Amino acid sequence: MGKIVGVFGTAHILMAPVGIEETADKVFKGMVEIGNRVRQTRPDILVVITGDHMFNINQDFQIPICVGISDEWIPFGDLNTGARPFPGHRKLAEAFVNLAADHGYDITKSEALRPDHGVTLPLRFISSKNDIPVVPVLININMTPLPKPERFYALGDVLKKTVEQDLLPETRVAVIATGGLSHWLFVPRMGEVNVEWDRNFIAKMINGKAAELARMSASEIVEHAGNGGIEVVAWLMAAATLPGRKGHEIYYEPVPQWSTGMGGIAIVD
Amino acid sequence: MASYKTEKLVQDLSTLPGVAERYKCDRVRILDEYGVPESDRPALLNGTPPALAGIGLHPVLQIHFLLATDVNASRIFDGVLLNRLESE
Repeated sequence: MGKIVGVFGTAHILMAPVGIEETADKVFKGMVEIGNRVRQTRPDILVVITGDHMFNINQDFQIPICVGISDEWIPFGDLNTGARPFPGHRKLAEAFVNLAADHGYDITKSEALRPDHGVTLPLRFISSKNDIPVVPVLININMTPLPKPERFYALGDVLKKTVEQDLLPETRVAVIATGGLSHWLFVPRMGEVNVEWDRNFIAKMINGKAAELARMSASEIVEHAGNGGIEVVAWLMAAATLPGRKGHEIYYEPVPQWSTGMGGIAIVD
Repeated sequence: MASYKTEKLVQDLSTLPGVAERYKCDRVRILDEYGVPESDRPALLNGTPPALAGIGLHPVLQIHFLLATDVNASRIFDGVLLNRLESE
């Protein structure tokens, strides 16, 4: 059976560092360390869970959850994150969707999604050779109904079971959640960072209390962490693959100039 | 909320090759092509965040629109930090 060897959460934007060079450097080094820690787990496969930014899931087809099943991905290359292809992992992706169906989840499969910065920015820090197969999991955080945290936490357990049941023995899988933390995008509160909320979220995540966080409602997260902060549902889903496990904060910097609380954690088996 | 036809145009500006270039050359023609309602057009032609918000354009699509049409907006993601990865 396969094994979840690590769960990581990290922000997925980097903006111009002008005027905030010291803070930006801390964030950059934090992302570098996330990449180091992922590689230290020697993953055979990466599952990257992220909110889509309407490059794939948009008003045309308002898909709640999408899993990429292709053998190869061609990224969008948005936000200067690069467009080099990288491999997928069809077997894990399809097994996950099938098991999820047994558990009452109707997940859309995609051969043709184009990974955006939610996948490609963290990947730049993790896999410079772009040679570790990636299963992208896209969560629709932009349209109603918003993702229910508890439901996605439970879906993380399905992912864990898939890895344990459907992969060759000793296959090592790292789960990376990207996005967050608190940010309001192009709404009146844009520029705010809820430092207290972010620090509490990180503290609970690294103390094995993601299940408790998952009892929040989506509207509660949006109220306290913004219409962008709902991306943390990805972190909750990832945490469910190593339930109750404790980890470490790798970086946290409130960056109002980037309109985002920038954070990263590592939970290793 | 902005018309679906308006949001469809904005989606295509950042995802379909050539649409952004054509829009920059002849905005009214593209607005006609997509059937953007008259009520939404002043906001797109104005192009500022308050104008786009005023017609209820989805916040994420506001970002798409600005990145596709405003060179200054795209500079905030200049890749300077990511470029360090190549040298370190």
